[in-house]
Amino acid sequence: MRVVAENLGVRYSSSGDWALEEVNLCFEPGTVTLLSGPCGSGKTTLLHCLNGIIPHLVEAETGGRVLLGQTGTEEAAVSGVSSLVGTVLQDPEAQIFNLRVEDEIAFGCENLGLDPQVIQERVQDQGRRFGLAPKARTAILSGGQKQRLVLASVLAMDRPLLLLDEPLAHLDRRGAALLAALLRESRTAGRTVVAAEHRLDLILPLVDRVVWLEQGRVRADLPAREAAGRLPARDLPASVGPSPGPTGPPLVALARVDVVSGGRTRLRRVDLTVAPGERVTLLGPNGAGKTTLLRTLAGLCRPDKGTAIRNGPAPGRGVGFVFQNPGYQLFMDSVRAEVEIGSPSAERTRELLDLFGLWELRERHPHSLSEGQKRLLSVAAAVAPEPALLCLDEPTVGQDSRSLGRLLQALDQTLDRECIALVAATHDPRCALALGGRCLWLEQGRVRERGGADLARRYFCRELDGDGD
Amino acid sequence: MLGSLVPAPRSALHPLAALGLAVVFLSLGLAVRPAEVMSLYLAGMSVLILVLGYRRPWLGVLKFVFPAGAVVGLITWLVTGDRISLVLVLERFYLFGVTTSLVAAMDPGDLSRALNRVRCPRRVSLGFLITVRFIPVLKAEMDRIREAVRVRGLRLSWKRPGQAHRVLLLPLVVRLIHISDTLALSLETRAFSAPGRPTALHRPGFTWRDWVGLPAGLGLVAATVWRLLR
Repeated sequence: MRVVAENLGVRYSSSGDWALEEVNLCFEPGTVTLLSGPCGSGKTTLLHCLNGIIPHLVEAETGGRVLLGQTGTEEAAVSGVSSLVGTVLQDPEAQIFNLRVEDEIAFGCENLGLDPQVIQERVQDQGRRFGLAPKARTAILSGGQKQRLVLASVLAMDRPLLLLDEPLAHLDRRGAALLAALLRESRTAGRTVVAAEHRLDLILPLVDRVVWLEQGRVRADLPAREAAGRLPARDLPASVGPSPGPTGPPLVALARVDVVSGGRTRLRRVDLTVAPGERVTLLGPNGAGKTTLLRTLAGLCRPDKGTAIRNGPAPGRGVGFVFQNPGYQLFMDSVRAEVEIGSPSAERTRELLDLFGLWELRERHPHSLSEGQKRLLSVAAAVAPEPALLCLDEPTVGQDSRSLGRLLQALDQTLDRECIALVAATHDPRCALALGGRCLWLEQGRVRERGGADLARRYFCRELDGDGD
Repeated sequence: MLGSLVPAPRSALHPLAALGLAVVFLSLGLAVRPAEVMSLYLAGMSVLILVLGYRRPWLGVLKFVFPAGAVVGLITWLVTGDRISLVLVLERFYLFGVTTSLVAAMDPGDLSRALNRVRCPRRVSLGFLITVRFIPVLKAEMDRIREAVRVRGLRLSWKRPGQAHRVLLLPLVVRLIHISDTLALSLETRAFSAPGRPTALHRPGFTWRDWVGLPAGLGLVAATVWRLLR
């Protein structure tokens, strides 16, 4: 299906600025287009215009028009548009409606009135493809498994236009390989695919064309092969120097630790010690136990077997923890107050706001910031009380390269100077390679391999090769 | 995680039976005045839902309902100076808790299929579905925020209600608004309002619980109305 945006403009009722302005684009069937650009550049708004969410479900002043084939989204009802478009939104957790995997995959097909036999086949196919057991409970899936489930439920609908908003955000190497296969297959099947994504290193080889947005305008529209060397965000964050080795006795020592939750063994016989100033990166597929290991190190989760010895750090005292979703951790009514609440002095607050690039935003409400800015703020707030151990869970989700570079540089300076130990779980090679230090490769709750930067490189090379074990 | 915290009984009532009973129980409960009739009514409801296998959701909901009822009841008692107002408030909160446990244990997918089958207008079912999905979400989100407060090292105290309000309520409200928006968009973009009659991968059927629960529940309602009229 040919999709055309003609002179498209969008201004939200809550804002004076145009979120999109004079956007003219045409998406041909059998092509995969990448929308990229910094956070807040209008990528999601453009996707919302293409699937009719704007103007039907989100109130905004609009100009121009969008045509899906011959159908204008403004004239068609949402029901008509949703029969043509499959949409994967951001935040997979908030989109899942059903309690069982099979019900979630079947949901869209049922709404389209497909035959139950066909639905059953699609549920089986998509479940197999994405490695999801049809009878599994959605509540016990990891963040990456939820992202796979959302993709599976949209693909099962088999619509001619596919819109993907940050589809790689929570995916591991295997999930990314599945997405790559899906994009190739969609191209062959003549679907039109438009994806907004920050992880250019993974997605650029998979797309035909790149549209670069900035401040709501199209700044570049290039074939993918020409885009690789020209995009501003292609620059990886500044490389960080070698990680300082451990200094002094361990802060936390886990010995043969098992953790069971939700009826599943999340960690099995894990040994890990973390010393002051050390950096450890946790690698592994979705559901491997990375978040559980972080929570156990931070004292948020008790081992069911084995021992966890802490030499000081405990939740709220000596441990900083940044969740996958930073929104949970922002309580105050200004950016400055958020950092100030844990900071020992006004000088430190000022210094951290400067270091994380938040000084200009200091009077803004934390919840009014972009996702990338919220992430920077949540890390700054976690570092403010001078913790001995900092745990980061997927710090790169929703971040453009600029924010990620800023975050890594700020972390590098703070951690080295204050001898803070860092443990980070990530699927993003940019982050893992920039942080340096030790790496642990987890699979099915066990430590599969230990190593340094070489292990991270090897792990992510396999990801790019689509090796799925 | 979403949906993990109000565990469903192994085989709950049919979604429409549970929804119908919850609405009837709540409506009548709000109208009952004499204390002894109310006590019998609540006791009868409690026995019924325990027999029907709703013990876990019932306990899960009560953990929230009683503390909240106690706080509101104490405030009412202080304002009115009448101790009976505390009992009345606690009874209403308990009533709300019992009816909520019927709804909280419902599978939203099954409810959606059941509402489709009786041709409930999509706008009405959208409201029901998001409400049902929200009950477990609410508790899960509260737990996450409490954990976030813990790792930030903030000490909550009854002596500083302003801080507790800001620290717990602000992220909760922001997150719930985000989830409800995203959930509604997710339903709509997956053809929830598409024209034509939806199909179903499988349909929830009536079980012995429905054949026992519906007559028993309606019997309890009839007996209470009879006592009130007498």
